[in-house]
Amino acid sequence: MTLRGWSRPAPNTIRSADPTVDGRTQLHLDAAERHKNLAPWLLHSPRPPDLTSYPDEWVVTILFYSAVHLISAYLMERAGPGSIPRSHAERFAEVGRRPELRSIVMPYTELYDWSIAARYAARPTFAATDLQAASDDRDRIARVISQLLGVE
Amino acid sequence: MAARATPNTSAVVMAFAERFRSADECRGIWYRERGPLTELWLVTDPIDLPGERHLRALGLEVSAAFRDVTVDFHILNSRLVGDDPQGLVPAGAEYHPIR
Repeated sequence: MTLRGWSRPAPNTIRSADPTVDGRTQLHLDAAERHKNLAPWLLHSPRPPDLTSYPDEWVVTILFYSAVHLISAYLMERAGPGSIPRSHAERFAEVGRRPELRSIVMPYTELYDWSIAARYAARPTFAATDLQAASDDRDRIARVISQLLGVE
Repeated sequence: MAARATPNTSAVVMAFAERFRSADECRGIWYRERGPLTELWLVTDPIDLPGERHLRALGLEVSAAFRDVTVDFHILNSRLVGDDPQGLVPAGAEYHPIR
């Protein structure tokens, strides 16, 4: 498939690594940030004429995967690369068994459920308030993980 | 054929069904065991965000009562997923009526 009219812009600027965390942790934090920044870009960019509606479902999905990377960053830092879940079920189990992550269970599950709707429902419907709520969920998870890791 | 639920999972499913019995917007529960998890999906009529979050909070309360089971509780809200929320329940999950 040809991506019409697309050309690669200037290379991404990678933030300086936070010296307080492992380099592999930082990669997950960077991915989480990149995903988070993509969400408003999707909503605010001019819509191509052949795109009949805003890609709300991908905004929700991107925010969910930002949360996935935040959790991976935490697990990488605390328990090493072998602790990174290889499935959503493993990730739920890992989050569920760690008391320090209890406060993210609800926002994370909400994002997961909505991303399922976004990716698999034939016609998912998200209101503007849902998109804001998804963004707030992601930010809440980011605050908890940042505090636990000691990075801001 | 789905595997028979362990006693723990059966107790979890019964507790969820009991908790949501009086909530008219709840249509049914699907569940399955997957490794260390008991997975549950609550399928609902179209409900607004506060209503969905209220049900999530209730589900977390029920989950917390089971210390030796990790419950993975999900909501399939018809408002978001459309006319066929049951279609998003993973294969192998068993139906349990709420009322």
